[in-house]
Amino acid sequence: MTPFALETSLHWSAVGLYIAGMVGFAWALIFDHPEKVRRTLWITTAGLLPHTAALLLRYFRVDHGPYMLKYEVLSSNAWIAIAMLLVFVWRRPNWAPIALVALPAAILMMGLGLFTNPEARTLPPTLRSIWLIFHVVFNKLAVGAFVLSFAAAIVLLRKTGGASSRLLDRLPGPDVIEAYTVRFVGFGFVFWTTTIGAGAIWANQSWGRYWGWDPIESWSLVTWLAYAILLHARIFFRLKARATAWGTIACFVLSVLTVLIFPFVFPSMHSAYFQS
Amino acid sequence: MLPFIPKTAKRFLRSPSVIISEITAISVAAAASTVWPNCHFFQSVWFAALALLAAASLLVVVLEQAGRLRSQWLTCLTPSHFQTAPFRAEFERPAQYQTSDAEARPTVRIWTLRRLGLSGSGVFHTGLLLILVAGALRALLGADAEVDLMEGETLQPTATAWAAQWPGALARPVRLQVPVTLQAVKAERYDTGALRQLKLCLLVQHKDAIVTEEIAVNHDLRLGSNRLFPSSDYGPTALVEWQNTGAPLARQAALLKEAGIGRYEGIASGPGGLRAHLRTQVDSAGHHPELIEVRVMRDHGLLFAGEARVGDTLVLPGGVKLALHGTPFWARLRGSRDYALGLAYLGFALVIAGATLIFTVIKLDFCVAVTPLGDRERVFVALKPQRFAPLFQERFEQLVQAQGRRASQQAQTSPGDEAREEACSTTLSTSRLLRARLAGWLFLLLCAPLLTSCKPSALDQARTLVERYNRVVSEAYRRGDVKLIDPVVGPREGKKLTGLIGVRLDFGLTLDSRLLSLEVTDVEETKTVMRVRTKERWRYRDLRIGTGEQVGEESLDSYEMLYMFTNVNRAWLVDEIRFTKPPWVGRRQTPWTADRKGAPVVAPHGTPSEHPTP
Repeated sequence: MTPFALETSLHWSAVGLYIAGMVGFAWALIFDHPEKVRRTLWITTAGLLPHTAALLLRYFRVDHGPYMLKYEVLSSNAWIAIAMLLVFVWRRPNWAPIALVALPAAILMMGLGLFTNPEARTLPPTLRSIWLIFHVVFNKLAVGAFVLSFAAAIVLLRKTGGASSRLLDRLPGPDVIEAYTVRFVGFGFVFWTTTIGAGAIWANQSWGRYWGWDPIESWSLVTWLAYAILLHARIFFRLKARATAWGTIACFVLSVLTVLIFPFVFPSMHSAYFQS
Repeated sequence: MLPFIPKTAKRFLRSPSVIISEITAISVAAAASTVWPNCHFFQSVWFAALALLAAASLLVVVLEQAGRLRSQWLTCLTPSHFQTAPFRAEFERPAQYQTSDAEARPTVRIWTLRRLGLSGSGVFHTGLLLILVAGALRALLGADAEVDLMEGETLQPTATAWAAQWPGALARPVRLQVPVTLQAVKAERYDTGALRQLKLCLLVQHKDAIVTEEIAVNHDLRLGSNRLFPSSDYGPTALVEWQNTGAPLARQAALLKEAGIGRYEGIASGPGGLRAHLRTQVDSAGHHPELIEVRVMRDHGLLFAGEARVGDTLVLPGGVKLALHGTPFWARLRGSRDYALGLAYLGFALVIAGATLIFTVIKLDFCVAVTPLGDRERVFVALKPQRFAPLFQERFEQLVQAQGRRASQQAQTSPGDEAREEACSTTLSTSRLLRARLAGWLFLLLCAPLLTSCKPSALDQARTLVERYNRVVSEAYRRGDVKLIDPVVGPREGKKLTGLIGVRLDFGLTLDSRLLSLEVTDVEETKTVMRVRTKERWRYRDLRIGTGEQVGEESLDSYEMLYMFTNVNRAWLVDEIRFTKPPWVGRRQTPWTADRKGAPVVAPHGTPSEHPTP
């Protein structure tokens, strides 16, 4: 078996386990078997093992981290999102319903990545910087936190929209869900801030300026400002829970566009690294 | 603080609507700049005014927060502070210690954890203010410069030594304090030939000593207030000399630029309209190339095609000679000066630290008041988190349990109201106005992808692809250089063109063609294949290699063509070309079949014409 075939097999094994985990969550929550949530968590956690192995294998094969191709970026983003979800649900088992939103989003992200061109690319000199590591790692953490905030916002909308089910009743009250939604947004905001800061220092090293209004820089700033508007508006105008949830969802959509779509749409100094 | 600013102005600058409007306006400007990159929003006066307004707001907010932080930090909390606490419980328990009535006095214990969390917002906004100030200083006093240097060449300590300068509005150009010589360029490559790292050895000629310094991509050199750093652009230089009888020697350094992995191309202009197209390959070890492919052209005629080694002198038709003296590497060196860089970095650090403090370090105020009631005592327990109150329910329950009672029985909790952060100086209820604003922002966010998804139409894209293909192939015919077609054709069409260009070269000819008109009549596109139908008019003439003279008659042709493009790694390559109608060919005979009686007229695209010109 070639290393690439092994990597692909590991990736798809992970997808299989994640899907099994998602089905398990749905079964446990819809048919009211809370004791099975823990077992399902184990299944999903087991999915992280082949996923981690696939990413490590890829790392040793191409000699750089997962930040050159959509294939690598999406897979590692999904890894982070699922890992953060699991950490949270292990600590707060009654929050298991958000897995029904976050897990499909992560699986979709991973699936999209697996159908893109996986041909390995070498790292150009400008990308050989320690700041790239910080830039990428914090970007992935931000994406993970935003996925969780998005999932919490969806749950919050259901909860405050008058919907009632055993699934929703298991969750804490709307005020707690809202606080968690904002806290996830806050963590994502911190990570995104660090992403921009590390990127700026790296840009100064490579291109001689820390800010150049490159389209991807601009959209990352717009995303950051959108989250800043949400956080400020929540404080200034005492936003209701539903308004906060809708704002979170809008900001999440913007962050997805910035991370996954705009690098391929706008001609940018960044897009050269993601065009395959 | 800021006594020179009227109170109304301060109130205006820190009002929520103004702050939200500023953030929104900056967001819209940044987004618009990506959709309309030629509008130069960021150099406009209104953007400068917007940035100034945002800085003023930040300054007012920072000063206000600093004052509030000081007073909050020093405030001595009393039980009244907990009247609005989201978590409160009151219950009785057996007295913990037996005391006499005389000694029985109420005890109140108040304490605070994670007080540092109070500073988060102030630190964050101070960082933002520093970044804005640093950005303004960079725009006014910073400067950037660029120059291409060859190995052995010295960059003199003058402003004019740089090829290009971009000084700020109030800045002087970049000027080094000492001469710097580029001693050597070292390129590391992957096995695939792609560039891995680029290092430059510099000789810095200080007054008292010459110091060797090495810089690389992402590793700069500080010289006084300037930084020197290389970009990834580099390549071999062809040091050529044109020798023409009776004319002075013309020496030239032609910088060859990367045109594929390890492949470098460039042009040297000579006397009398001569142009030498040069190409070479750099091996993965990064050695200086010894051999250079040379094609000398005048106007559109190919005079010479061959190779030259370092030290060779090529004798061209007409007596002109071209000597190749060396192939040192060149590299692009950049200089920049930014006095406020440290300020910007400090700003970044403060912003990150502030945001981290805001969301991870939450100040918690605790109060436990015990009032003796004989052999029992009344206990009042309260917890007041700075923010995210609902998340501290467990913490409160633990506190109450520690005091001897389950919280769930008597806790009067109303999380969510008071815990909505301390920072709001002005608050409004969720009103229609706010809803309208939110709807507006959402609308903007939703419109953004629509705006950005505007792609060129299929016809425009097809036209661009066909024009690019024809431009490249025409040049390949003109220069007799089949390597030029690699970026635009697939293997099948490439093989055909290689044959056609080769046949002409065998006859000592090149083809000079000019596209007179192009009309794209139809486009069919799938994900991997694009079929483009066109109507084209061309002017052709054959030129003899060596003299550039026209051979045979000129031809005006009209074609109806079908181009079949395939998508290979996001690039559209021509896989095959067909005539959809027999071509209309102007000339009756091609010069290179002139000696073959009855040979058919052949159109340049390689398909025999079924019906020679009427």
